[in-house]
Parts: sequence; structure tokens; C-alpha cells
Amino acid sequence: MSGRRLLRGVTRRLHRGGWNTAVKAEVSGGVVTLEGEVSSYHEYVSLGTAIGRLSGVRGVVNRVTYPGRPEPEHRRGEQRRLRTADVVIVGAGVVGCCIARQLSRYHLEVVVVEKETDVACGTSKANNGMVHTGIGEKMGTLKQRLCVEGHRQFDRLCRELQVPYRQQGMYIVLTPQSFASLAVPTALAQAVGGRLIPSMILRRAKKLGLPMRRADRREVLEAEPHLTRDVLSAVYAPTYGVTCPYRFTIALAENAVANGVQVMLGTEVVDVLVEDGRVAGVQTDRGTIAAPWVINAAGLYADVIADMAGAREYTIHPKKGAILLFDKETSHYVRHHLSLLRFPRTEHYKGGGIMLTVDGNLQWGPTITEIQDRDDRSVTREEIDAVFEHYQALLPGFPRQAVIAYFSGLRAATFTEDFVIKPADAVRGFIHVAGIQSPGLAAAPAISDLVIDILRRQGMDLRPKGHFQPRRQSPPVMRELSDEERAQHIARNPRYGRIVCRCEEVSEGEIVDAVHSSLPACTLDAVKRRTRAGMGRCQGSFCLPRVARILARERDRALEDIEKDRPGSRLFVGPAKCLLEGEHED
Amino acid sequence: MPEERQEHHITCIECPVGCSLLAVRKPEGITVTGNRCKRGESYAVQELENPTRVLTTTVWVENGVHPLLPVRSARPLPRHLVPEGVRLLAGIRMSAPVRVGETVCGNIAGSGVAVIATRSMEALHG
Amino acid sequence: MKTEVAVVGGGPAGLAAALAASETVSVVLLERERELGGILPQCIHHGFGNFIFDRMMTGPEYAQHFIDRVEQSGIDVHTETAVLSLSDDRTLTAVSPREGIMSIDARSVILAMGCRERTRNQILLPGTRPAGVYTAGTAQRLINVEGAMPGKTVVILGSGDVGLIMARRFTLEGATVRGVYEIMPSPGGLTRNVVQCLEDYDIPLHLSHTVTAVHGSRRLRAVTVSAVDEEMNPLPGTETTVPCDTLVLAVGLIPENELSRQARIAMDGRTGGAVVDEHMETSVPGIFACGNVVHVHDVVDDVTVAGGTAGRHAAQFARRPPRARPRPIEVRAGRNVRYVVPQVLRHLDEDTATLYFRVQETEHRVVCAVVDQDTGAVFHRGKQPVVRPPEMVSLRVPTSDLKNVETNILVHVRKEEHA
Repeated sequence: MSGRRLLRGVTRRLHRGGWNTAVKAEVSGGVVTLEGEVSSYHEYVSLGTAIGRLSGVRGVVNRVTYPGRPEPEHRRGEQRRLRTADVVIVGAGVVGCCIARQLSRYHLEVVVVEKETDVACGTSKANNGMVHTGIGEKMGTLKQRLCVEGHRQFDRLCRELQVPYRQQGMYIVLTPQSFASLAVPTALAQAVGGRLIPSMILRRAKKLGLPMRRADRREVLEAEPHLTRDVLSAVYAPTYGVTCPYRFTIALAENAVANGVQVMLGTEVVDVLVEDGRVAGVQTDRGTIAAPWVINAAGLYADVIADMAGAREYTIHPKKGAILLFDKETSHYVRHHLSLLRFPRTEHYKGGGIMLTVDGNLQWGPTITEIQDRDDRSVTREEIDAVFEHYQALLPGFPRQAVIAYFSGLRAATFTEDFVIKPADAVRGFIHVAGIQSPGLAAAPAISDLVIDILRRQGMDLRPKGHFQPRRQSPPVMRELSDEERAQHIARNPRYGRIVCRCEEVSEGEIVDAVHSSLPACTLDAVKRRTRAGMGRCQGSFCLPRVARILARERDRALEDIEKDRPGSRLFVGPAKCLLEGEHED
Repeated sequence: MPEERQEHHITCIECPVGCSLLAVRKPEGITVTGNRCKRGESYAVQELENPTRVLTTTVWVENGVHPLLPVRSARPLPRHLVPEGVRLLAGIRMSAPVRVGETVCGNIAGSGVAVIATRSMEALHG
Repeated sequence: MKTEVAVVGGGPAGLAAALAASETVSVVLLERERELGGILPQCIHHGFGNFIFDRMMTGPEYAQHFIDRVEQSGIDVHTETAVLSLSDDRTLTAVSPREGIMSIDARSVILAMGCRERTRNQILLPGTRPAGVYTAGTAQRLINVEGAMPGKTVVILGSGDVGLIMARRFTLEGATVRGVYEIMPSPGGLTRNVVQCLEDYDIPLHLSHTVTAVHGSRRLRAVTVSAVDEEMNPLPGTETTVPCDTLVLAVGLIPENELSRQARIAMDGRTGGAVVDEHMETSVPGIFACGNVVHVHDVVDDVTVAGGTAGRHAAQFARRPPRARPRPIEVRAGRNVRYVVPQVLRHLDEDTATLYFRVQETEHRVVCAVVDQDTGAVFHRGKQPVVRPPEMVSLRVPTSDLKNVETNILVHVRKEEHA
């Protein structure tokens, strides 16, 4: 579409939305840049979404201001040269780590730079771990294509990385609740929808090459005895899988490190260096890294990083999803994942459902809410109530009080609601890998393949290493071993026999392994993500003091320096009695 | 310093009923109302004239299984001395092995009351 | 490993049970911590042993008394030993650093695993998840045993004894306790503790209030508190923000019955623990349970008594398991009674049976009675000036009278005027 025609379409849309006086648009190469002022964040999102939906729009850069718009904050940059590299990857989420691992197959110096204290600290740890098949994505989108391709690789990849992956399949179900919000008589909706919709889904499945089939009410109830009796019909997707998204990311990162990648944690990119229209490296709060290639996999902050390079082609508007996690005692309530279809459909929200984690806990959710603050990791009362309200009808009689945890994650959505994986228009050597929301996890292997492809076409010299080691040896997990194997480990290292986390049966040996792994755990939550210590019924009530002591001992730090997760999240203010000695300064 | 107020509202703790007592200091002595028994009356007088409490806290200990050793005052001591006593005990360093009942401090905050260990703790090394 | 009696848990219940059993049979005591004592070593305040020893002791002292006796006995103690599984044929699997995987074959087993704390997530407290949110027991362990100070400005949710004790402890260690918030209209702990922990230190107690949100992205920054109505729902418009860096949750204890469920022992939904008879025997013959794992106690002396009962009878079972178990008399909870332990009476082989119960609501000037609903026979009748949920009541019933009971007996509480 020509630029002029696109601009006309944008102008018409602005007019129709009543934004024509307050907002100005510029179009360049399919990217629409909006400037001006609106009255609220809500309006800012509506505006961006409306423009993003227009045909011909490749990206929306929404620079419109609104009252209370926060100024981005950064740490100060350091000048000293840290090192040179071939590639800098900004962001150690599942996508950044997957790309790093892929790149480590080649003779390249690769550095991953991550501002949090561990990998997978953003969206990558705050999702339900579902490895989608692609059936739920909008047809023709890049995310759908990459999801289908990525999903196919998951089984082999998880075996190579020794990460759990379970494919127990999903029932996509239709119940009266599916049609509750429609302005159509329910009986009609049910009769028509109950038959028609599965047909539509199966047609799509055939196009995508997915082995799905119809499941009538009798079959679903037999397969899922606790499901609500008023289920209408379902479609069964046998290849639906789940993994542990942060263990998967950690494994990718460890394997990348084993193959020569450097992962710099607690290091924030504050500027992207550009010389003569080409990327020259990054500046961080620890120093600079010179590199001719920069891959922007910065998730919620991808647009901020792109701005630093002068290569902004999109804007991220976070969408929060809250999930409730239940006690393993309730795991028998479902045998497969259950996805509840709801109409009218929001194009880019699969609706959520009741899914099993790879460890066997039930998860309900996620919700979807537009959120302004990219740092918002809260779960509100309304979100908790919404989850219960949406899904409790699926499992009548389910003990709601069996909830053991709840958390939220922010989806890094662009206004065009699709992945942006391409070389930057304005700066050579800068590769966008942005707008990765669901199905980012399933798509990760295919995203990496695409990025490698882009780099090759952009002229990067990719010579495969002879000695790339695809297999990662997972550290021993005591509770998964037979008694004999376990006894052998304990005989060699008695620490494997000392249980620290009673709820999840995690031994001291496993915690020490995590602290000394190739991607060391430095915080309480990093230990938790690697070992599950603190993830059980008591949520760390018993093991927190012990894990903190082990961390302090193994890292040779004072107990008071141990942090929960993010920089500044100290667990203690000092040793006992520290407040009794003299004045205590804030 | 003993309180100088005239009227004191006190919840009696001598039995589970927990009467709400009013103790009033008068020239002829202390009058107590609201009590249902004699124990309540004497409790109120005690609370006004000389409230006492058992002090319980911890002290640092070296070479033991834990870095802290729990201690208590051998008898109740004047209530107003408890926070000061805890502060003073924070500066004490014991050394394992320790036997339950062992004296940690002979006379805490000038009260004449000793502070003793409330558990035994073995030495880790040596 | 073979033994006559295996005891799981070395806290006050397990210690008492092991000691009682060891008078006649061989005993193995399995404790997952490095030392014996259970939760007592961190309960450095006094108030323990008032009934058994007729003096006030601190938790560690109380534990030390029994630990010393265990050391002098022939009990085979295994510390740092975690029981991983229990089958209904009384085989235990345990793991320890010294012995690796152990299989213990016991003639009878006594479960004394105690309880855990209700978590922030279980009360669905909204907000963020920063550092600085602790359950009271964890804070207690950190301050009194591990040597770390959790924070300096504290809000406490829950006025049960643990919350009240920690309000004082934090204050004595130099922190500022902004207030104790309690969702019920009356305090959850003993009046003595309200006086000596809150009033002594001018710590405000806010009844009919709760915490409704947690704020702070890395370390706790503040909490939102709210008044609540009679249904304990937050009242809109009453929210205030309280700046603090530490939130201590004292919101209830839950018996730790993972092993009991594995052994398919019948559980009581009201106590959270196993259904037991007056020997502290569960629904699985030869498996006994005592202490907080059966129901949460207020007073450790009661735990010691229950442990002794369990130990004696577990030893008896080990020596001579009964061929058949007598038909049980169910003990039911009547008016204003939340639960009664033991839930069944089977043997009636001692002069009296002691029943422990908790009321649903505080009532003044009441009569507690144990009756046979069918015949109207009264087995016990006693007046109490006041009964409160946080204060467990015990009643003794002469067993000779019970021998004619056909089905069940009922424990109820009535106002004096209606009794």
C-alpha cells in the first residue's frame, strides 16, 4: 500500500474516533507515528489499537501523551569498555536465551545482557507454560506460523535440554458460558455454536496440519469426569503440551553458556551505539560492549531499546494476565488441559482455561487487562475474583480454598498484535525481536531459526562449530530418582540427604548445585526457580531461613545481603539486634 | 519511672474472665473496682505499685549450632527495666557449650535479678 | 530397620510419645531438623508448663526437659531424617544425610508432625510480592534462632498468640510495630498476651480490620488496611495506607497431614487432622497421632498429655495388637461446639475419658454438657463463666457411664438460662 493511501486511511480513522484535532499522524514504510495528547491511558490504548487494526499498518509508534504518563527511568551508563563481541542480545527471556543458544552453534562471540538478577525474570517466568499448537492464533499472522513451527521442535528440544515437557492434550470446550455474553438467544447460540464452531476449528486445524478431532459431549465427560455436565461439545487437540517456562529458559541459558555464550546479569542497557547508520554496540550501567550486531529481545522494554537505536517501529502496551495455582491435592480434577471458548472472541486472547503445570498443579487463568506500568506485577482483588468467576463453572464442586499461589505476568503486546521480527529499517545490524506475547514460548525455537535466517541474509558470517554440544545435563533432582539412585548420590554427597524444603522434598545438595551452576542462582527466587524450594504448600515458611543461610554460606556473603529476587529486594535489614545499637538510619 | 496518673484501666489476667478493672490512686490508698474476686484486686494494686514482668530474649553465642541463645530473667523484674535489659543483653557474647539454667548475667539493669540460659547448647568444635 | 514403635516428629508431642512408649518397648524417633524440640526452640517467651510443672517456663526450657530425658533413655533418635512416605501397613521410608534412604518397619507408628502456617496466598491477599512479607513463625525463627532481623517497621495481621508474641518481640529488638490488625471483633489470643505484648508497649490493636493490599515492587513499602463488617468483608471507604517494610501474617495454623493422607487415614475436615479415639489411634490400626497434627493446641501441656497417651497405647499395640477393635461411640459436636477430640471413643478402658473441644463463639455464663441424645442421659455438666474460641476446653467423663451408649454422645454448650 502506498504511503499516501495509508495516511488517508489513518486520517479517516482518526476523524472517526474524534482524535483528529488532538493527534497528528506520520506514515513511513508502513509505520504510523502518532503524536499529540489524549485524556487518559485508556484512550491512548484505544487510539493505538484502532490504528494498529488498519490494513497496511506494519507498526504503530504511539508517542501520544496523556496525563500522568511516566518518564522512563534509567541507570547511569558507564564509559569503560567491557569487551567486544560479534552479537549482543538484549534481554535474557526465553526468546533471548533461545537465540543465544542457537547462535552458540556458530563461531561467534555472543553476549546476552539482562537487567534483572536472573534469566526469565520478565514475562518468561510469569506465564502458564503452555506450549500452544497454533490453533488459537489469528490466521495468517507471523506468530501463528512460528507457533506451529516452534511447537514441532519442542519435544526434541526439551529432551536435549533435560527439561520436563508433557503432552497430555487439550479439550477445547464449549459450554453455555461460552455464549453468555452474546446478544443472541442462548438456545440458538448453543445449538448452532455447539456444532458449527468445532467444524470451524477443525477446518483451521487441517490448514495448519494439526491432528485435532471432534469430541462429543459423552467422550469429553468420560475423559474429564469432573467437568460440568452442561458441556455442549469439544475439540480435542492431542499434541498440546506444557513445560516449565523458567526451567526451560534457564536450561537454554546454561546450554548457551556451556557453548561459549556470556550471560551478563544485573546489567542494564542504557544506550545503543550507532555509527554511520550501523550499530556499533551497547552502553550499559557497567560499561560498553562493542558489537556490529544487536538483537533486541527486550520484551516489555523492546520499544525503549529500539528508541535508543533510533529504530523505533512499534510501541509496547502491556496486558496483564493473572493466574491462580492450586494444591497438588486437586490435580485429579482434570486429566487434560481445558480451554474454554468464549464469544464474542477477542482476536488476540485465547480465553484461558484450566491447565496443568508440568509438575501437576492446576492453574486457572489468565485474565487480560491493559496496564500502564510495565513494572506492575501485582494481582488485584478484581483479578482474583475474575479468575474464579470465569472458570469455576467448568469444575463444579472444586475446592476453591485449595489455592496455594497466584501471580501475574505482563504480555509485551504491540498495537499490531503480532511479532515484530525483522532487521530495523533505519539502522543496519539492529534486529527487532519484539512484541512477543503468547505464543512466545511455543514459538521460541522457530523465532530463533527466523532470527538466524535474518542474520544470514543480512550478511553475518555463520560458520558452524564442530564441537557444539546440544545436550545439557540437568543437575540431579532427588525426588525424581529411584531409592537406589538417591542413596548413591547421598553416599557420595550427604547434602543430598538433608531435606531443606519439606513440601517439595528439595535437598541441600540440590540447592548448593543451583548456587554453583553455570548460571548461578544468586537470590532466593533464583534458587526457587531451579529447585522448587519454596513452591509448595507452605510457600517457603519453613525453608526461607534455611535457603537464605545456604545462599549466604555458598556465596560467602552476609545473611543480610541476600535478596529475594530483584535488586533492592533484601530479605532482612541486618543481623538480629541491629536496631538496638545506636540510631538506625533509613 | 512509676506512672503518676490517677486513674488506670487494667485488664485482669488472673483468670480467663478478664475483668475490666479501674484502679484509682487516692491519698488513703488504691481503690479497685470492676473485679469479681480478690485476686483481681491484688493484681490491680501490683500493676499500679510495682508491675513486674519476666524478661525473655536472646544473646549471641559462638561455636554453637545456632548463633543465638535464648535466655530469661530468673524471676520477674520491674516492667520498666525490660527494654533496657534486652538492650544490655544484646551486647553479651556467650560461648558454647552452655547448660540450661547457666547464668548469663548476674544482675540485669540493676534489678538484682539474674538472667539464665533457657536451653543447653553443645559446642560445634573442640 | 525394624522397631516396635516409630515416632514421626521430635517436637513436644513426639518427645512425650517416645518417652511413654520407651518404658516398655523399643522406639525409633525420626526428626527432620538438626535438633529435637519441634517449634519450641524458637518460642523463647514464657508461658509453657504451667499445668504440668506448676511453673512458667520458656519454650526451649520445656523442650530441654524432655530432650534430656530422651537422651538418657534407650530411644533410637535420628535427626536430620525426613520421612518421605508412610504406607497403611506401617512401613516408613525416610532420608537422611548419614544413612541415605531408610526403610523402617514398625509394629506401630505415632504421627507427631505438628502444623504449618496459613500463607499469604491462602488468604488471597492482593497486591505485589515484594520482600518483607513473612508468616509469624518464620519471622520468629529468623529473629530468635537464625540471627536475622526481618525488618524495622512492622504491621501484624492476626491477633492470635503468635501475632501478639511477635509484636512484643519485634518491639524489644528495636523495630516499630505500627499496629496489630484483627479481622474478628475480639482478639484471637489470650488476654494475658494482649496485656503483656500490646498494652505494655502501646501497640495499637485494630479489631474488625484486615489488610487488603500489599505495595512495593522490591521490598515492602506499605499495606492497605480496611475496616470489615460482620461478614468480614472490607467496608468500602475505610481504606488507609500504612507505610511499613514488614508484614507479619499470623493468620492460622494448619495441621501437617501429608503422611496421614498417604496412609489413607480418615481425616476430620473441622480439625484438619486425623480422626482419633481416646487412645489417640487413627482409623488405621496401629497408627496413632498426637499433638498439633491432630488439632491445633493452645497449651503445650495438653500436647504432652496427648503424646503420653499415644505412646502408651502404641507400645501396647506393638506388644499385643488387639484382634478386633470394639465398635466406636461417636463423639458429636453440638451447639456452639466447633469440634471435639477424640472424635470417637472405643475402648473405655480407663476410669475417665478426657474430651477436648473448642467453641464457635464467645459466650458468658454457660453450661458445658456431654449427653446421650437418644436416652437424655447426662455424663457431664459443668458451669463456665466464659468460653472463647481461642481457649480450648477439656471435660472429663466417667467411662463407666458410657458403656451403655448405643450410638453417640454429644458435647454442647448452652447459656445458663437455657441449660
